[in-house]
Amino acid sequence: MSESYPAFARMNQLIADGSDLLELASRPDLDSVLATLDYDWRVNQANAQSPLVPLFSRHGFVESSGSAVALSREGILFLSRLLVRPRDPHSSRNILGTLDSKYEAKGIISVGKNSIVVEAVHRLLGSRFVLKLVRPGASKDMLGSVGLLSGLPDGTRILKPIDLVATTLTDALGKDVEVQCLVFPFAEGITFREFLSRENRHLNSQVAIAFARQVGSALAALEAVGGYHGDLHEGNIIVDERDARLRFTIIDISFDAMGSASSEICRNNDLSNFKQHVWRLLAAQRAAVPRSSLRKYIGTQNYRRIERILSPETTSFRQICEILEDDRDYEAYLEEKKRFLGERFHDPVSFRLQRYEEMTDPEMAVRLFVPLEQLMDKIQGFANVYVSGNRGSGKSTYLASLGFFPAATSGTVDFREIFGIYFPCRQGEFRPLAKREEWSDETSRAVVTNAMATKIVRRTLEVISAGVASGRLRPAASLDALRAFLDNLVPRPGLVSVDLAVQSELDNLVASMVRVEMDEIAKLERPISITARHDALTLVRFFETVRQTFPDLTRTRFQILFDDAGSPYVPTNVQAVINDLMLSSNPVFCVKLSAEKLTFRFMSSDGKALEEGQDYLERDISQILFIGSGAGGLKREELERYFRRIVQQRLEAFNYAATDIVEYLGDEQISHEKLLQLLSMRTKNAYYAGWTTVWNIADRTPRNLLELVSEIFAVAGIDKDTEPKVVSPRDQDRAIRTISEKRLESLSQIPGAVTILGHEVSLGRRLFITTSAIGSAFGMYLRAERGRKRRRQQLAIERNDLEELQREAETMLEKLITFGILDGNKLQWARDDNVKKPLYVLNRIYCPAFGIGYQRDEHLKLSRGKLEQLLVTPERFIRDGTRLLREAAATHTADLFHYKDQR
Amino acid sequence: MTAPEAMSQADWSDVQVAASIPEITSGLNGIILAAGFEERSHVWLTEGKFRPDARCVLIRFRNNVPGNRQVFDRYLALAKERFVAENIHVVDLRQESPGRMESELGAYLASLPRSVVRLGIDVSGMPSYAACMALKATRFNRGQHPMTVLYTAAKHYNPSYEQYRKLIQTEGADIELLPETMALEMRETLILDSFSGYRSQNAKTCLAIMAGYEAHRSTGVVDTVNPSLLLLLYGNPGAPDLEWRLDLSRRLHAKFERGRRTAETVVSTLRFEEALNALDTFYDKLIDDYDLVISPIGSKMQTLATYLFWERYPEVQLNFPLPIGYDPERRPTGVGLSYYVDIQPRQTLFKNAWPAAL
Repeated sequence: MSESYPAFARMNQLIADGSDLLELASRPDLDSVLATLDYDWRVNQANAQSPLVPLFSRHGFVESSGSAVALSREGILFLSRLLVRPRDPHSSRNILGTLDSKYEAKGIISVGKNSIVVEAVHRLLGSRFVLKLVRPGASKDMLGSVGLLSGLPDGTRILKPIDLVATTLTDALGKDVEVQCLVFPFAEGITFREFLSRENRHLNSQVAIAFARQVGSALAALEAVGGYHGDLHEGNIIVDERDARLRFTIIDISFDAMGSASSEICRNNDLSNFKQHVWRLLAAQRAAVPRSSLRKYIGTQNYRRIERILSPETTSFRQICEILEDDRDYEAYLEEKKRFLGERFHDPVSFRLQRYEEMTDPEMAVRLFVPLEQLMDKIQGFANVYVSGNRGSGKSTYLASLGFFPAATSGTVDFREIFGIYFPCRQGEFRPLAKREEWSDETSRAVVTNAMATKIVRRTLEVISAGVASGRLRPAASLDALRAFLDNLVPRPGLVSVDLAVQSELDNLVASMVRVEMDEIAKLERPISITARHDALTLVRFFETVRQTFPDLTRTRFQILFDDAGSPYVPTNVQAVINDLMLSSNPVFCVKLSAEKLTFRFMSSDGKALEEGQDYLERDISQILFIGSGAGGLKREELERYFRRIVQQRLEAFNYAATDIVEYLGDEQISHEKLLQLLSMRTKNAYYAGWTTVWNIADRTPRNLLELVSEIFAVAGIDKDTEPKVVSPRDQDRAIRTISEKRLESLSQIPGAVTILGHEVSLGRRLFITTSAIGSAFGMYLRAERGRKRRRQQLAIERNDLEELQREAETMLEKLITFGILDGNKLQWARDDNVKKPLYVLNRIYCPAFGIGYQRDEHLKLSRGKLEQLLVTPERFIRDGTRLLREAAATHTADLFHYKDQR
Repeated sequence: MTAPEAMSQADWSDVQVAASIPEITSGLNGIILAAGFEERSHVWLTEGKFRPDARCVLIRFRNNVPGNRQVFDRYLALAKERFVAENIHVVDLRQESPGRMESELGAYLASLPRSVVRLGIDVSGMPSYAACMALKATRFNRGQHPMTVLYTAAKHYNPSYEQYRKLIQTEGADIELLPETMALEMRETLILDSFSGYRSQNAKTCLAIMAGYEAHRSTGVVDTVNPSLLLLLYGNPGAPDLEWRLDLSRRLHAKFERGRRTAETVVSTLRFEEALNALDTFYDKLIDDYDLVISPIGSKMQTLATYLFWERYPEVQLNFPLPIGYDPERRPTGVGLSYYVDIQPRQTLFKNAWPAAL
């Protein structure tokens, strides 16, 4: 062992060398033996005949000898360690000696090798002090050292002595001994040891940096005047959390009262202790946030600083201060990061009029957003709103347009009126809140409500803080009210902030809330005990406080925006809590959400079904963009203008030579009647082309529109510098069919499973097959129109009864609607029995893939049985679903992929 | 072929070929393995020589794959020939609640006597999510001891070289038509609570995929995560006669590179430290601005790298795209070489990197 570990070998040697002293110290008759020395503290004289003298001499404790011997400083210190001690270790009575007339001892704080530390009260002033009785021999030049400490700059976080006095104590043998006493003001707070071990520390992520700054700079100042602390253990750092601000103060400075240890050893011990304290602080944080590494939690800049501070190359406190102030290392890292990301991550191929970022970054999507006024009015009003619509219809963008994005220079709405707090639920933020087996319904409700309240508060503060930092929001005159609110919101001991040099006050609040949220999520893994009960009222109070605090938000009303809030992104128990928030009718905040059809359950956590029109309003984008007469629909020209504007905005934004899409696509396409004729004949010149065709096929979906136009541009090689010219119908047709076929084929990659005929099968595959069957059937109906004077296109399925579908068929129908393949919003007035019956219209984006027209002239009327056949066994439906299909099957092989053989 | 960042910081012991399986297993106090339907999945059980008091944990698949029950019965019979009956423990991997496997395995491991110090985990028959759960249960319940990860390669994998030739003839550089794979179509993206990580406020995501040959699963996870950045880690099988597999994987994933801001790198399918180092390199530059999500759809050893990376950075989320089932007919066949690697105890795993040790 000793060969492997030199440090242990040295320690073993020291113990062996001092074994005779240890033996002496442990003798039961110690006082009697020491009495033989007859030591006089005042004149430093001991009896030369004492049997202890040889032992003392061996250890260098004797300075001169003769009839009476004098002890060296080390000898005096050794003797004082044995003889100067409290009579009763548990009592401070008589411990102060002659100082007792001035101070009343209240308790012994510590009895150490070099000093005894006592808490005392000034008898006259009544104020609290800490008296440090320095053992004789522990200091070489106490007065000089105290003088040196006076050179420390003001504000240094070291508790300096305010006085140096002498007192006379009585040693264990009854002899007077004069002792120097340092008088320190009493430091309020808890020790660093207590701070580290305390439960529920809402340490914000920057606490280690705050510690390093405060304690490091204090020790650097000490180092600069040639001093050291000497005993920097966890009890000698006081943590003061008064005024909700974290302050670290070094106490009990032992400079020049370290007995036999050399100055260099003492300085190294300071550095080593300091590094260990930083380490412990980080270890405590790491343990408390099990779902995050320190790198992520404290951020790269501070991580690198800490890494350098803890490095063996850092050998002085001056270096530590330099590391904390010097940003060059981090700037070099940022440069390298920029280079690395630029070199390694490649931009995708040109999307022409689309930007890949808008699919992933709502802020970018909002920048390119063209709102439809009628729709925007309906969505932005202060009410709970469910925004629905086909995939790509712009649900997320409409919702995001209400959000406050700090970096955006302007917004679609005025944040002074509408302040949207945007949650992109698709990122998985809410998944950990899914109900667990062991939770009761009530536990789930309470836990999720608390977590949601914390998330909303945290997110709101984050965007406000970023808004203030970016200059979009004016800062608050005072954060006191907000701080007081948050202090009550978070579990005990409440908020603790680090100094403003490390973090602004607002960032302190944000960092604390981030930590509180992490704690709440981490707690879910353990058996739950509900310690707080937040609800909508908590949020109302919070938002009212925010209004009072930030001058730009005094009139605003808050809208909590949950984008993609359907399953599986938001578990149903979390949806229930969102519904609870919607039910809390109040004038301060409302809830808006987007979700795919039938994926959000409007049911509160206590089982109340929310009523559309009463508790919330549904705004179906595809429905609002439906062309129709009267109040229910949009005029054809309005929709055309809106879609033209969407394209125009992008042509302008990306500096295309022309901004009118008609200059590229033309609008002289063949009539729809002519197109139907050509499609029914399967002629090669049945071209989908021209602006009117394109925006109709886009089927009220901006993303479809942009994809179609972009693909046409790609096929024709049009970019921003191209002279405007109308792309040939052939090229347009090729591009349109490509997009349509891609859309159809991509259905098969939709994840999920459904049960069909008792077997679990791929949802994507079934959607693809069923859509193919529908499109192929419509295609065969069109082909059957060949030779007729006026051809009519089947584009919808109409129920000809109202009977309930069997479960598997119903599920498939729901999925076809959820994924926007069928539009299930329409009802058809049936003249035969005077009732309205459901109508399911095929999304027109698939029409080119099936070689069919895009206008709905006719409906395929199906009974319950036939519809079930289509939904459950589409392969059979295509052969005998209707008379026409049976006839077609008799003449040629009808299968699902019939559509592929169009021309 | 292997990217430079993958080559740096190689401070792990190498994955080694198991020259003698009995020699390695006789040093173990127990083995954890899954009753998979591939031949390679039971090599360590069949050829291993175990101590009389050694434990055997069998992971039983509870799903709708035909023949699972018979396969498990064969494993159980094999285990009974090698272990005392009371030392055989069965843990279920249920399709409807996969996360329970970790807690059940963890509870069993925690109940073992202190004399059980060295466990081997055979990942050959485990899907990646089960491998991650088995690793976590072991390392969090027996974290003070080293463990040994065991693996046996198959001889023939799907798709075959012939399929590859046909695909590139018909499809060219970007293969849209997917080869038939053992994993059927996507059911869902599984995010186990244990590995759900921490989503920070910025909500921008980088998705790292250990890309294999099941591009439909990659599609599923890309669709679920909708990442701002995509990092594709292609697997390099190492042997020159297998380089076509790397080429196939690239062609299968080319469509992602066209549609998103993407980086790609190549790491060994076997030497997991390459994947670990590559992830570390990208993490270092991304983590302040992005949340990192990793989807291990590549090799088993890349799954090991993914797990170890998560252990180091628990804010990282692991996503497992699950198929609706498996087609045993398309399973890898034959038995190739067996490998093992010793993993240091969790507490000292990253002892040279102070923050991870904390």
